[in-house]
Amino acid sequence: MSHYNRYASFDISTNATVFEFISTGPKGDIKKIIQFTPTNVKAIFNLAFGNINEDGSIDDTTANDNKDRDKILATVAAAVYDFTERFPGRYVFFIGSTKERTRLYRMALTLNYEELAESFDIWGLTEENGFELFEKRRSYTGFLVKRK
Amino acid sequence: MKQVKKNNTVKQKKAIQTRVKKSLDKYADKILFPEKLSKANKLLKGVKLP
Repeated sequence: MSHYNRYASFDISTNATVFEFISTGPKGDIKKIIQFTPTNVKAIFNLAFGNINEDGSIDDTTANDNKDRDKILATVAAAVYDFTERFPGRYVFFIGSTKERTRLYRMALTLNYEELAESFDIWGLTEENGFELFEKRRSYTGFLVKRK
Repeated sequence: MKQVKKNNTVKQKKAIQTRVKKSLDKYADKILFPEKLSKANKLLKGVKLP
């Protein structure tokens, strides 16, 4: 997502399903964690990310206000590139924890669509039709990508 | 040749430094975001893969 800057590095678990990076901003350094988890549908992995709190608990609802929202999204996108490069047969599904966040993801996909579409097939989930090829300006309840 | 150069540039853009950190393995077998996974499974129920 070259429209956005991203963090330069992240750490990964041995099985490459957990990624960690540090968000840096006015609120200090905040540990972020990304996880790809198998869903009930074979080959579809759910993407989720959030904060690792100081007590080790995980939180995906708090807005950090660390002034790096787009940088975080670009870093999460880089994790999707990495994950799907290692496991090209896997689909990655993602939804926002709120309607606003789902809308934010749609906007990010729209803004970076041409670049993303070079590497991924992208679908949006609708209540009426299930998955359909992603279209800009269309509202979706979730998104699915697969490496081309 | 131009295409190869373009592909390399794209790859470079996407390259991000990664390092295996064994301490993250403690999370690998846990579901860290159960609510989101549950919501995803509900949405995916009965939906056909494209």
